[in-house]
Amino acid sequence: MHPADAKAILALKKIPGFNYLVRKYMEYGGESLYRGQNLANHVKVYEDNFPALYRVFKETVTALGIDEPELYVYNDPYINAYTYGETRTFIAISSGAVETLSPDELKGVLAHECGHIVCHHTFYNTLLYSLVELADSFKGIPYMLFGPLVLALQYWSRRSELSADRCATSIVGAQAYQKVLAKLASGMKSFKPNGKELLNQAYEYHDIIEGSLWGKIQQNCQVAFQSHPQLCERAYEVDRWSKSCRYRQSRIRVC
Amino acid sequence: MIVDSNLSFLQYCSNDELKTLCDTLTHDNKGEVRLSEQLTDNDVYLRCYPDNMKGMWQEIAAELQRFGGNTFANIFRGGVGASYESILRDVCKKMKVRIPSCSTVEEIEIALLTKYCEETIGSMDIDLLHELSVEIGIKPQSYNKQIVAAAILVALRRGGGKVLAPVIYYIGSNISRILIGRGVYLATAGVLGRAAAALAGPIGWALTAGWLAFDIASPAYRVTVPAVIQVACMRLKHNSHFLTAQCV
Repeated sequence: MHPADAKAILALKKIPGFNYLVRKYMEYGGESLYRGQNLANHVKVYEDNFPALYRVFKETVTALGIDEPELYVYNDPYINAYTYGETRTFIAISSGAVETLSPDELKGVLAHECGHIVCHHTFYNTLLYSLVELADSFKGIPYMLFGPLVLALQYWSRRSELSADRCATSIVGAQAYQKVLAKLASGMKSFKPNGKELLNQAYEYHDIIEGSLWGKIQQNCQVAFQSHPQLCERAYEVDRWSKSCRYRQSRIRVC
Repeated sequence: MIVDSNLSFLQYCSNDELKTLCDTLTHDNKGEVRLSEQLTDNDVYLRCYPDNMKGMWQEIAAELQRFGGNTFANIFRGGVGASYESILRDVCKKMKVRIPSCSTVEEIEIALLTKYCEETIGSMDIDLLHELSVEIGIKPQSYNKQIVAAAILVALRRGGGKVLAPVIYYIGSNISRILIGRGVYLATAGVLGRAAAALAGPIGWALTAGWLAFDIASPAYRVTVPAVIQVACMRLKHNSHFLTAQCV
């Protein structure tokens, strides 16, 4: 788990009644809402209908040693995936991701989502995404009601992505995962990344942030309402993690 | 980090000892990362933890200094904390350990460890006290807990570091081990920790009771008190090895 993620979760838990609120939300349908949506509009993945995807998924789950969550494919040209649920977790992956990414890259995406499950992020994620979806549906009213909570959850969510990235990196290796991030940035099937593009951009990006206070404020405001950190930041963090002792240990375990 | 000769011996300590000290600084007794720690997201920490702790002894020392210093004072010092000696004196003041103002760091640490051992001995049962007294060369004539405990305490006060070292090594195979036990408990969230606690047995319980006397409310002291005790134990061990090597 990334320390920033662990600290953000601790800070969230310190909000009085927060865990109670999330638990009640899950109990009263937060989880079943998304499961219903999956069953209604997405295609559940089995060995028979998506053999290649299922094989990659099975390998990922086995490597991580977790119970197999349900896997769905949904219709979306963008490369994306998400995971929700606490007692009955599921992963949904976009058709764009399945068609654009190679098996190794797909494994990286699935390992990232499994990382969220391993770190129990789904507990808070489900509430966050419900609030964001409500905000989209009712044109910002929930933002007015729950503004600070949404911002706090978004802040945590950005850090939770770093933990999930660490998990994915441990499964597929740093270079392979850097390529996934580059593909996510470009969205092109024909693009053959070398795995260093985003990392090099990250150094330039840091120059902007560290160059001036105004630059720092600008970039922080840009991500304040986003659930994911900037892709180059993620590439930078993956690179740092790949130099760690624990990364090497986890790679030895997986390989 | 402030160049601190009192912490430079850390570079000669073992990987396990440094890891214990590092865990004490970065995680609380529930295994959760401390909100105010600045070590776990450090590049050197990522490279060295947990197998090459000697490579990050300076970062560990700096983190201890930061925890020991007042937050605002640290800012004015340019992000560096207080000297180890001032942290140690502060801890002793909090623990009500009386020390003369001219004492050296080693002497202050001995006084602190003696107080710690006294707390622990007070909560040990008679069988353990008998074992401990034999270990440090006292032949107990009585089977009364108070008398045996008093005999050990007198030996401890008169013998200073000479008696303190075997007492510390004996009590739960030294304080580091109980701290590692806590560390194991943190890291594995339950099963191994319970096994470690069961292995530690009554000695472990006695040590924990002694420990609890030091486990005080203030957040900064929750870090500096165990960390300073750990550093004191490490120095005691390091110095005894150094002396043995010189004698040979």
